[in-house]
Parts: sequence; C-alpha cells; structure tokens
Amino acid sequence: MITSWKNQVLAAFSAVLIGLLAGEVVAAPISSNTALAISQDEWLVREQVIVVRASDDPSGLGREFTATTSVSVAGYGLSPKLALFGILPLAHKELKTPAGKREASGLGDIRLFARYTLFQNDGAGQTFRIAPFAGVELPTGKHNDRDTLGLLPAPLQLGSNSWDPFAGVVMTYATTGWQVDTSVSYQNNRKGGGVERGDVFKADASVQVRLWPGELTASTNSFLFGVLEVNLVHEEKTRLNGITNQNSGGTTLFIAPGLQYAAKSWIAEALVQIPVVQNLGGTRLQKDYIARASVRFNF
Amino acid sequence: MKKIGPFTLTAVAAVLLGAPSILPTTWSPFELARNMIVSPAHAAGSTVYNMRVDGMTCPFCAATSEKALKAIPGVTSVSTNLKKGVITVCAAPSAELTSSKMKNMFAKKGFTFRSMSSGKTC
Repeated sequence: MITSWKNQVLAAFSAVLIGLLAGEVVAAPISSNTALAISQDEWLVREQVIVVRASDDPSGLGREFTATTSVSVAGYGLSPKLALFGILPLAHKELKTPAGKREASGLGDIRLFARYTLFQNDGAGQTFRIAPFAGVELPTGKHNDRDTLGLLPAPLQLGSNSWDPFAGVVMTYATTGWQVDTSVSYQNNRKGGGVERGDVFKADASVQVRLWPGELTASTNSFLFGVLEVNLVHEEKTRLNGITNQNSGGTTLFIAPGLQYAAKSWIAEALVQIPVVQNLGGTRLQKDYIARASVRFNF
Repeated sequence: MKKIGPFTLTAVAAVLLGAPSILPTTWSPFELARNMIVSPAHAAGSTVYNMRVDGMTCPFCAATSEKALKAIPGVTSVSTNLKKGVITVCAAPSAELTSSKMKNMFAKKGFTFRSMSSGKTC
C-alpha cells in the first residue's frame, strides 16, 4: 500500500514539475495517438497517471483488481515527418480477495516506436494528416514475480517476457475550433516463458471541441477543449504451454469523456474511460473504469 | 535630509519588480528599457512582412513559429492570426527574411509556408 501511494505521489510530483517547464504543445487525444507532428529537433514529454479498476467478478470469488501506472512518454522530432517515441511505465498492481491481498510494483514493459507523417494537407487554420507507426514492446518488466503464496497470477505480473511488435495508423483532421483523431493498431504478442498472451487489436476515435474562448483574438493564449473518445479493445485468448486459457481475451468498448486545458506552453488533461460493452472470456474480471490524468510539454 | 529606511526601499523594489505584471506591458520599466534598445529598428524604417502559413490550428503552433521568427536577428515583433493563417512580422531592413529561408524554417516546424508580402510600415 505504501509503495502504491509512493508511486502515485511521485507520479503527481513529476506531472507538476513537468507542467512548470515551458514549451509548445498541440492538442491531441488523451487515451490514444495523434498524427500531428513534433517539430524537427524538438522534444515532447508527457507524464500520465492511469488508474484501472476492475471489481465486477463473474466467478463470485469477490476479487478486486486495481492498477496504478505512471507512464512517462518522451518523443523526439528526428525530422518534421519522423518522430521517435519511448514509453516507460511504472506500475503498482494489486488483487484483493476475501482471503487476502497480492500485489506487485515496479517497471513494466517499455515501448519504443516511430511515427512517420505519410500524408499532409495543410490549409489556413486547418490540417489533415495520416501517420503510420510501428514499434516493439520490450520484455523489461518482471514476468515471474512471486510473493509468500508463490508465483503471482498473470494479471499481476508487470512484464510479458517477450518482444512484441505492434503497428498502426493514425489520422488527424484539425481546425482552430475542433479536432478529430482516429487510429487503429495491432500488437502481435509472442511467446515468453511458455505463456503467449493473445494479440491485441485497438481502434480509437477522439473528438476535441474548443469550449473556450468562443472567439479567437490576438491575445488568445489558451484553449479549453471538451473531449469525447471511443476506444475498442479486442484481445485474443492467452495460451499457456499450448493450452488456451478460456478465462482470458475478449472485447471491450469504452466511451470516455474528458477535459483538456491547453495553455500556450503546456497541456493538462483528464479523462475517464467507462466500459459500455464488455464481452470477456470466462470468469475474467470486468472493468469498472480507467481514469487518466496527464500533463505534457515540448522543449 | 530624511533617511530612506529599509521599508521604503522594499516597497520601491516591490513596485518596480511587480510592475510588469500589474501595468500594461508598455508601461513596465523592463518593457520601456527593452523598447529603448529595440526601437532603433523602427527609427531606421522597419519592414512589415505578412506570411501565409498553413497547418497552424492552435496557439501552440503559433507560439513555436513565433519563437523561431523572434530568434532571427533584426526581428522586433511577431503576431499571428490563426484563423487566416497569417503571421505578421516587423523587422529591421537588415533581417534576413527570404521566402526560401521561411519555407525551410516552417517545414521544420511541420507547417506549410505559402507566400510572403512586405510593406514599409509596421
């Protein structure tokens, strides 16, 4: 528990610290990606805290799962079209049952990827861009963590012990009043230590509408956006030593309202993903919500 | 003659330091001093440039462009009309603001430089 609070306080502190540093940033989805570029030779840093809560237990065992993750993202504009990203997650996961609590904390699997602006059509106060991206999830998180009861169950492990490639494409249409981002991605999860997590397909859409100010003037230097996102996640079933785990995989559809305050040099944002459809395998725990809060800046 | 006490000194310092955030920017002592340094460009006859730049959709896009323009020697002021996609730049005649240089600079920012016109008054 102490570790959990320590992680959360550290994450919040990092977020505030990062928010104090100045730079220029652009509006973007909160739970997914954008095709808007990072300027050449500029850095983008984002610190996001994600809380996942799942307590609807079809097995009737009264399980409750909570994961708090501090996700640090760094992006660099290698050219106006090509950007490189690194994502470093620090997580605390815990599973409570009437019999007790099991938990794990530490570094998760780091993700590295590149995004290239393939198509760009700019107009006065508007832009349309298409950017494919591809990368790999590295086996940096612990995959065989144990506690006094023995090996922790797979959902509590922080890593996969496999090199998992992923790829996708994101499209963005932005004007001075609103922005739409849509993306699809596929992650091929490979076998690691006898366990092969199912592949993951994701489809995301995000609409950001400027709520304030109503009119743009020469002195306008901050926007307040209302954000509405829809996220579809489909996971294939996990296989353990060639045997399919029926209590895994499934499809979840989230609807996610949020707010984004974009000042001239930084962005602060928050969003809650609420599951509206959950068709999960077997007795897999159903999610209550995923909450995200983040700050980001360029320098 | 009456002595100036530490309280008076503190009050004067507070007014001087606080002035930039209280007064209109052109009234602040820092801004006045800055204008005294910058104004020779105006005195010598500055040039106004109107640049049409596409792809900017938010104040942050404008800010990154303005920062790059302000870094060019001789540029004295920059403002952006986001809706029209026009950046207005005031600069000394010595400032190097050529179309090819601007095209390259905005391309690095991720935007599209379309055209530029210039006039004699800022």
